[in-house]
Amino acid sequence: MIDLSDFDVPAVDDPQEQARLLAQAEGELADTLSQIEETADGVTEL
Amino acid sequence: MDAVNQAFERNAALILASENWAQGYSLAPVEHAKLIKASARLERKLLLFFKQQAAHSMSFVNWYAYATALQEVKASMVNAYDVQVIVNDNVANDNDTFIKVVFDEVALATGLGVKAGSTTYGIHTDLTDTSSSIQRQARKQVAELVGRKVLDDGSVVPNPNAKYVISNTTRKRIQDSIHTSLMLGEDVPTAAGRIKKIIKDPKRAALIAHQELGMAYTTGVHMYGEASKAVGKEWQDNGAIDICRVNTTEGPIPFDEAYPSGDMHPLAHIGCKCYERLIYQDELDANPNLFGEPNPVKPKVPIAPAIKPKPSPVIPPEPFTPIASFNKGGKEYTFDLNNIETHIISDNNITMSTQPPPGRSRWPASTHGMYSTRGTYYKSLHLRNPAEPTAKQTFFHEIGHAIDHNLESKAITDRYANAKSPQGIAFKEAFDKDYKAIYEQRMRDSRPDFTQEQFDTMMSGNTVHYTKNVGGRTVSYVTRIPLSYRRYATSPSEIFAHGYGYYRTNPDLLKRIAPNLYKFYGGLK
Repeated sequence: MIDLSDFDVPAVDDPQEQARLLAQAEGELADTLSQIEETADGVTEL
Repeated sequence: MDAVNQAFERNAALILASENWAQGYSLAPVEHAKLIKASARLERKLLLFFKQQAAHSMSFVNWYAYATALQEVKASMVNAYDVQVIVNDNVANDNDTFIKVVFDEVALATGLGVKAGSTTYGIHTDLTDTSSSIQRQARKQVAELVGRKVLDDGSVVPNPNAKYVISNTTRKRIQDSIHTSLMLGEDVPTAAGRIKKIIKDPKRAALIAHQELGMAYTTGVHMYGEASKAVGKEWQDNGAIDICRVNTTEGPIPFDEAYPSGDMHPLAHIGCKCYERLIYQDELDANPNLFGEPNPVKPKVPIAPAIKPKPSPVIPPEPFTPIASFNKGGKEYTFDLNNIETHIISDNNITMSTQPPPGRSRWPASTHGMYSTRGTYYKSLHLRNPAEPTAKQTFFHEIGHAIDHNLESKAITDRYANAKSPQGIAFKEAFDKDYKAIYEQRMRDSRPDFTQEQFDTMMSGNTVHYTKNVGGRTVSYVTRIPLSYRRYATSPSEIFAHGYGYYRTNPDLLKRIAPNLYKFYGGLK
């Protein structure tokens, strides 16, 4: 089970840095979501 | 190397050096500095690799199919996010180049970790940075990144159970990009440009370089511990409030035991800068109770996200009834959620564990529970931290997955969350009526402090700024719901599992917000 609030990021003043932090967190979320699999030898659910 | 590359590596190294590393790294400053330089060098090399991959990214997508789908989306014949995006298999053709880029640096960092151990503890071992075991370990780590594994005879073969495959992440990013382009009605050149930008994302190069070399280095330290006959180890965090804090709180443990996170050594997650202190026999002789009493029940510490700032001491969660029961085959099984280690529910193969699932050496970032039908135990339920306040909901969420996948069958077609299966028809009817309520409740549960306005802003897809009290300090955060998460949390399988969680932990709530699903779960045998 994944809780989205785990991926919240600290607020910073620089908009570009803020966007970078959000994108980084979303990249980590995408990596975690990639663990969900349904293959011939079984399934993994989060 | 030209001046631009030198400047890039110098800047990248400076940024890395300024990060909050655990104290243990400073005991071998020369090796640590070399690790930082190697990470900066690999970051630059990966940047170039992704740039070259982006240059031929047009070939990863069937653009005729894209143009057709775009017309259908514009004509409102289909929702952009319902379009199935197939990424061509040649996205994996770059894996061999990736191995060449990464291998030498991983081998170097593993050797540096071994040297760091030697510098710190001064015990002679036969390990050198050219030892075959170091080369083998580096080969194993790099092979895993491209979905392969190294057999005992040294050959490299495909690994169907790979926990992370770089080309799969690229594939998913391309799919997300295409969905975004369809939603925005972008023409082919614009959509192709979006993909290029996503593939050559510099943050990804940095993330992979730092993570893999950090992992190689700490693996090297651990290998040194093994070779120098360390009897114990102790996790050292850097002011963490996440699973690493739990590992540190555990204190000294025997060398061959896993930390509470399931890892044998750092790192535990992306961005982790933890270290491992090795313990030798003389320290154990001086303090025979170093590892505590036999089978101690140590207090657990709640998990918080790795990316949040350093807090004051962690406040334990509100107490909750730590008992959960589960009926299987007419028999009731009861668990004390605070004392789950590995528990075999019955002789036909369902296990509960706080360890990562089979085939994975560590928990994916911010994952609280998993259900798996792979590996030795066939069906296994994994709860990362039974002490966290949401553990009970997580437990029944994962039990929900187990029920969805049909405890007595291996066939995917027997699933409830499959509209084409006989069982799935009834679920689909309830799902269609109630899935939004389950999703909304799940999002509310994760934001107990939000005002209604903040919640509405978040649910409408916008970015929300909010503050909360963390250990007596007011800290500002930013959040938004990525489409990937919305798709995950509204999928039939997640709605089935999460709705079942409510059915077991708060049936009155479920009855009120999702009466159709409540009725459906009540009819399950």
